[in-house]
Amino acid sequence: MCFDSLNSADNWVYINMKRLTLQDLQTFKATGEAITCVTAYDYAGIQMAEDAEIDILIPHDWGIGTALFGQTSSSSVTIEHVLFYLKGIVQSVRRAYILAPLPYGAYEISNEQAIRNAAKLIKEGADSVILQGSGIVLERIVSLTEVGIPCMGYLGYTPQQVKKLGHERVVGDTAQEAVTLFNDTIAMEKAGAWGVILQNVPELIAKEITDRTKLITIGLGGTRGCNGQMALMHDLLGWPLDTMPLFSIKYADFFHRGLAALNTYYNEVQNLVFPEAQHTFAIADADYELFLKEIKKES
Amino acid sequence: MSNQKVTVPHLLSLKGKRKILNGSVMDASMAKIIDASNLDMAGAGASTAAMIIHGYMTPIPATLEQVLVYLGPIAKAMKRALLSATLPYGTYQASNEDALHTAITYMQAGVDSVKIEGTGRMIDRVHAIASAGIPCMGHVGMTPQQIHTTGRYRSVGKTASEAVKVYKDALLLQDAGAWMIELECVPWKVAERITQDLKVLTMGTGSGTGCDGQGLMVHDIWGLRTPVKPRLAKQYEDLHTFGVNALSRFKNDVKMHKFPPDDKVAEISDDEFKQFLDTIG
Repeated sequence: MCFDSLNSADNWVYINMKRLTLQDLQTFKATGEAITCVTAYDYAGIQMAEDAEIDILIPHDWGIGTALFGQTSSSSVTIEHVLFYLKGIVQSVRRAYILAPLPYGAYEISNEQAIRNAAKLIKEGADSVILQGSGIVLERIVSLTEVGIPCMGYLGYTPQQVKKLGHERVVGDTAQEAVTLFNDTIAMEKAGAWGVILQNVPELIAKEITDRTKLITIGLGGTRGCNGQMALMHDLLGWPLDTMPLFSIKYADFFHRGLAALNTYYNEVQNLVFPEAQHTFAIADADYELFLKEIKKES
Repeated sequence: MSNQKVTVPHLLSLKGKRKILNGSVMDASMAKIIDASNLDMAGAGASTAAMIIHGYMTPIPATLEQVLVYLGPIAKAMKRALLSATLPYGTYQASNEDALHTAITYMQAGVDSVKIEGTGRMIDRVHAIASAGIPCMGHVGMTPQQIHTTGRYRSVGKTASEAVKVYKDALLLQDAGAWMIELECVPWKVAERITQDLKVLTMGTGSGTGCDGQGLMVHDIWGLRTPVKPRLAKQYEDLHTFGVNALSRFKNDVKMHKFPPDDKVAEISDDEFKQFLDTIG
């Protein structure tokens, strides 16, 4: 038999693991338990995150654009792309809460457009959707909340607006920008959002927002002082990237470890070390003789 | 290792000289590691979408639309290694027209060679694709897209009659124009004999050292989780454990309010912060 078994329950398959809900996340904020959140796109990544008991998984559109597609931004990422990677999370998730982004161009035009696309994400299995920015987005959050779609806002440096904002930078390090940011979060809370991702916001400002609103705040990039933290899995694990986040924070070096393993594999194959008998199959001598006789007849 | 793009004629010229290595790739980031390594080629077809990304136990659920999500970006990112991709289940079996249409769509996305599984009329599909000037690989022995016929993942060719069929099919695929034939879970003696009798290349997966090349899922090499753990694979690294440790340390640092670290924190000056507080009251 070639594989252990098609139907075997592998030791990493957990059954009946209870999924986190929005209420659980709100309890975390109330009790001061830090929330962790990472980007995830594939079975292996999801298994690592679940084994580390990460609370929230996101098929992050910026990560799809940069880490997965090798581009410099998330501008070309569509709702279909997000749905494709979301599907993998939904199929393999055990405990984590699933947050799905509405990508650039999928919610700006009208409330109707936002509801249609957000509904696609919810139908695929997302627990909540993310919308970047303020202004018109507040109206979208009102509409989505009205139809029962939980909304997470996203303020500070919002990568979907890269063409307007320019290169990744800190947002809210001047009093004026910080006040706008603060007012936007108040408006976002009023619009019905349950939380907000704050990217590259100074700790003192993020802390004020966290303390003065009911929003669950998740810090991303250089943002500290929130109820939780989000990290980009590719950056954290040291996968090779062309477009590096401004606040790159590595916990592992997958690139060099992965590369060394591939080159060992290469050398073992060239030297006929791999595959060994255990990696292949034998034919009985009698059958092999019969096989040789048969193919001789053919030629 | 040269940085020149690996081509089909180049690989064909290596027959009998050195082994050809085939891996797998799922995104642009992984393509960079493949390119930096010595691997000659990597696959990103149906099993990548269905198994590696979506976690299904077979490649069958993958659709053309799904594979096309990442195929173009990978083709663009992988500048050296040859990119091959198996056509998704249901997109080539019905007719030569279907097969050609899907193969052309793959080529337009930027792959270097397509692959289809199976024998019988599928050999005609290979002929149709190869005749159109598209490098096409065949796949005999255990063919995962036909798992429901074999019933389970198993060796194919352990009996004389099965071995003869695999042998004849490989020759037919060569005649049809396949430039490389994957032999999956074929007994090593049989695979060795097929390799000797073919002018084109054989790629062994669980078929011993006698083949012209070896193919493994890179996730299996790295010890990253996949929905099925094939006995033919060898794990050279334990990236899953490294990854879990890294993510656990991240989680712990978040709980200790040490993430992001002090040198990676956005800041505001005291003056500006005071002004902010005065404004919001």
